Amino acid sequence: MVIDKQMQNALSTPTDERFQSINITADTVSTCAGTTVFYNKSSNIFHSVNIDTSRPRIPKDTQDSTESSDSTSMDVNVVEGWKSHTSAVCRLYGGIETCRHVWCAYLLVHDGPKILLVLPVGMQANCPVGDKAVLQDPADVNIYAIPNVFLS
Amino acid sequence: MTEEMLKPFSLALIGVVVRSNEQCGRGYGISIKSIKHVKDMHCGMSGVYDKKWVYSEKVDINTQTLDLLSKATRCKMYENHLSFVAKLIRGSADDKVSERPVVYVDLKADASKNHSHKIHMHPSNQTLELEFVCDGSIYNGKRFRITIPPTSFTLEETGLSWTQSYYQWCVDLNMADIVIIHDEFQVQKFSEGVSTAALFPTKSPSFPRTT
Repeated sequence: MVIDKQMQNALSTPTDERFQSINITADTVSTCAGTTVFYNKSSNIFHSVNIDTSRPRIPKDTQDSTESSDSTSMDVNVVEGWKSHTSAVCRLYGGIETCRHVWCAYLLVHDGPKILLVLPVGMQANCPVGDKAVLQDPADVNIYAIPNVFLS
Repeated sequence: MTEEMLKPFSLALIGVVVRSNEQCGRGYGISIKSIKHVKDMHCGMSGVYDKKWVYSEKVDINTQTLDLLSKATRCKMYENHLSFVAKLIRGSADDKVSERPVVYVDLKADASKNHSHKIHMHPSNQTLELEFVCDGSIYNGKRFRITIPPTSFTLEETGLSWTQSYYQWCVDLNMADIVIIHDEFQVQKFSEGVSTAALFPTKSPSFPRTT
């Protein structure tokens, strides 16, 4: 996907009032990764993704500070898993859990430079807590050890 | 089993006992001894079962069931499963479809990749519907109520409008699998909004930097 001047203008002034403008300037265009995922020749419709690669974004903490400092509730939430990512792609909304770090991206459908859809999404930037635990291998682990010592 | 567990696409392990040969021959040789609900899993999940046992949306259900039941197996007592299981599944020997098989639609497959499926918001604004638009499919023109797996999104905050756009984008790109629990009665009697389907966006592709 080429984010040229024409596309920058189209993204900043979408004709459909449902969509908000995305301001890509000459300074910020280098931090945009645009990829056309699918092009339908017969209809001239492009399905593309535009990702802001400047940095992974951390949701703002909108929770009460007393609640966030409550270690018991944190532990419960981590165990339940709903604070972590459950999907590679998610909606970004006010109050999204702060531990869900995301790449800010837009799913686009456009007919040449005419924008038909701009759907803001978050793309998972960090592993869920549970996955991290699985991936971290203790240095002294012996995977062939007889497990009786761990069992009653 | 509780009412809470009885949701579309719930997964359960069913323990069965096989009775005598004679009773099997009459069609009631299997009795259910236990049902155990499997929490946090559902029957639309990839890897839960072998894909060779799921049905296609290209061939009518009756034909597929008869094909499945007529396959030779390792069973020494019968030539195939047909005589053993048919009456149990069908309840009768006629061609009336009473089974509710899992129909799996892989949109990346050659047979299913050309389509114009649409995701609609139900007028009640409480569910999404999948309109099947695909020549050659037994579901062409039919609508299905979409079951969104509870582990997919924090649905209350995400909302159906965003989910509708996201699902449509994934379906247009064939980046989704569709799982349908076939219900012959509902498919034949109603044209829209009663049978259930689940839609699972497949793993996101990697996006190379091409700016």
